[in-house]
Amino acid sequence: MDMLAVSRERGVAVVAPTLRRLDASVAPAFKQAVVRVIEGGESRVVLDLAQVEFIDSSGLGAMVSILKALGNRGSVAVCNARGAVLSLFQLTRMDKVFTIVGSCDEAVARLAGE
Amino acid sequence: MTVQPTLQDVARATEALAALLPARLPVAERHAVQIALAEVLTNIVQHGYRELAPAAIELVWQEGESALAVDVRDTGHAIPAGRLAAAGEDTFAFDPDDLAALPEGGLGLAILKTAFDVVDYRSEGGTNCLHLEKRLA
Repeated sequence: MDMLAVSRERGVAVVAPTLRRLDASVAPAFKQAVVRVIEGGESRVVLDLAQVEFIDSSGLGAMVSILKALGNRGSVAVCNARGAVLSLFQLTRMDKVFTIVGSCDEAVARLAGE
Repeated sequence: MTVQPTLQDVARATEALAALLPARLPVAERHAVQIALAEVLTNIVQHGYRELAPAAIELVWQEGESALAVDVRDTGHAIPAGRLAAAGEDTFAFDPDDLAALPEGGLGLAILKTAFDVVDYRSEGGTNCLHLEKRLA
């Protein structure tokens, strides 16, 4: 299943899950798909959650795995998190771990160092 | 409500339950309850019924004047003793700079205890009963 739309803007990979729900049924495959993008040489990754309406702890865990896969070699920013998705980051205090910004442009600018 | 023990039905049930959440509950708390119920049902499907013949999950929803009560019953493996007691808001006290120590799982019970005001769990005669309450203003 093609669950990601990947584009490249100003040297930053913009990875957008094309899923309404990022939950336990898809989290392992989502993680693997993004890790493949990272292994393909991307070190700056924006996770664009515009299409995602719901994330559970498995989906959040997958995002932590992505952060770890990049390690100190790279950086991640999250954009377009809203509603229950944003609430999950806040509830679990993962909003202190991830760089969360409103728009994709802002996230790309942040990671591109502009 | 009856929930079939599949992740697909957990998704369906979670969305149906979200629509039933009282409007007087603040939005962030509605989201927290919705996420917590998804965690409960997912745990039952993934862990409770591991290596067992899965059976339907019963969910009873009661909105009172001062609280929303949710009872969840299943016949799978019980949550291991102590795990629920150990989970709490401390679970989320990560050091954002300690990447290696960040948890990639195991947050479900802490989410549950953060989202609800009352979390009571009993396992008797092969049936697990989870009683949850959320205070309503």
